[in-house]
Amino acid sequence: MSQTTPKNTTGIQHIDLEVGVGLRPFYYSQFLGEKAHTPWIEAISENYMGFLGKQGGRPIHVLESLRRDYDISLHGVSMSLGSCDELDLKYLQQLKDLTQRIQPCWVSDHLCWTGFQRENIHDLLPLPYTQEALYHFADKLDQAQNFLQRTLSIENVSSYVAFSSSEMSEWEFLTALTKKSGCNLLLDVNNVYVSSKNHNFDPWSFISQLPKNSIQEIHLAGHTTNGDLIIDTHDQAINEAVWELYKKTIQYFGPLPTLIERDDNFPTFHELMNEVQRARTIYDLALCENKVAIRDNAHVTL
Amino acid sequence: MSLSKIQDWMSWAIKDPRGIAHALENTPAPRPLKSEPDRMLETISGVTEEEKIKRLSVYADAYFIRISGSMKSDFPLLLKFLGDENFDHMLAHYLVAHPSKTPNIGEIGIHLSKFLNSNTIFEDKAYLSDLALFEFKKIETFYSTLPSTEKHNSLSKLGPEDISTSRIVLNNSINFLSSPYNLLHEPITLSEEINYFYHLRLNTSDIRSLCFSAHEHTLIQNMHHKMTIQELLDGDTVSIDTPLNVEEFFQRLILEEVIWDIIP
Repeated sequence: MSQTTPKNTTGIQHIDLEVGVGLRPFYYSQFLGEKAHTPWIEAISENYMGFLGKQGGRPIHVLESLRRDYDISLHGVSMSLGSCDELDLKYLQQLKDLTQRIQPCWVSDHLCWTGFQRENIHDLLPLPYTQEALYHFADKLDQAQNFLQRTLSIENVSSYVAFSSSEMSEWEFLTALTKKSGCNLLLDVNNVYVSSKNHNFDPWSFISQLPKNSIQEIHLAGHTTNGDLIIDTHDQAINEAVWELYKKTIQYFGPLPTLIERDDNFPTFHELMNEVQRARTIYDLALCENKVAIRDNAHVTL
Repeated sequence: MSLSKIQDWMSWAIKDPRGIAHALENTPAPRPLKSEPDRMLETISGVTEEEKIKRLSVYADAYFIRISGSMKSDFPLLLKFLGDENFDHMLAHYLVAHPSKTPNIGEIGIHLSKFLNSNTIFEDKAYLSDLALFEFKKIETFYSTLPSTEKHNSLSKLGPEDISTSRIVLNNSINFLSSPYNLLHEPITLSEEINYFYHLRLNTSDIRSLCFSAHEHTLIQNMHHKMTIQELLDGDTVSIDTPLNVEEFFQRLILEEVIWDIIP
């Protein structure tokens, strides 16, 4: 397996972007009509990669218009790096064309598979955390990074099943993946929380054992409780326990660009921006408390 | 258990429209599975079989709900005429016949018109196939690109003298279909004598659809050849028998942004 670092990558790119928000068609008119109080937005890549092989149309026109006012990251849901299928080169070429057109600050996808034998399930399905899956995923990720000529960020997914064949924890798998492929991580704090409840592990153990220098971005979203399972629905306000975990994460890792995602049961734009504001307040507070703690520690040492 | 076997089994079980529990009962499923389904369940962590099925069902439910939600949003007229329950029933059959092979969830409906045409579930509603095609063309139009040139400011002031010498720039997002059904009016009726021609296009704010006669449709198709308006009218042999109010027709096309620009 090739372990080459793709050319023209910037690696971790900690632009001072603080808190951004996911761009969804539901909010197009607000984003186009009034400047959102956020320095960056994240677009779902597949929504702008054309239709039936043809590039163009309203979505890409909107995205290009917004590019003038915002930094934009591209977040994919269909690269399916964990699938045993070959990489979809047509998909990768369309993504490459989009990155050349939009010049995103970074590009991400998920630690998952989304289909098998070219049939798409349109969901983020979990992998068994085995050496076989690790080598397979790292190999395809390496191919994708070389094709796109950029380092990708890989996001942890929410999961509802785990596999008896797993040989390591998810955070050990992610850590090993960064070492093998040179990829960055997109840490979805809500997904960690959801999986921790569904599989009964400590979410902080997961987060605190991730490699500090590999985290590119944080995601926050809401979830729904369904009996004894928690489902990652992105259709609710962010849960208080997730906010707490987020604050602890920023205190531990320092400043990291953070994104609010909402995909259903959309609140008003004003309410969405209030959630962005809350994230910013927690972000500032976490960093401020960190500085105080460092100062106090220094004082004690003196 | 190899990664490939796990993925083969999971995708097979998740896509079975009867649900995970039925899929695992070893009864004939939409796609044959090489491995033993009940043995494969051992690969999922959990104490009881019931718990494992419940956890897998989250994915099976999400698979159908996500695609159903997307399709209902993309085919609102079809949903209206079928009703929620019938739509889901039809979709379950459709996904077995045409599983998604695209990363873009919006493209899943590409075979829907043909599927409805060849399927006997809704024989009493023969117009559904054309309705599905109409709505899919609408999605295609949404992803079309408007002409790169800005619209000419004087377009609305087009006078009779311009008609004789100017060339037409059509809105290049136009998609069209023909149908014997009057799809834009309820109840949908079948015409034994004529075909309706539907032109869908983007305008500056929305997707619009217009219905034209065969004569008007031919004229618009001829506009693609970028002839002068005069040449267009000279070649219009139908108007000899059925006079067309030229000015009214062109003003309508301009107003509706079917004609995007006139180049003097």
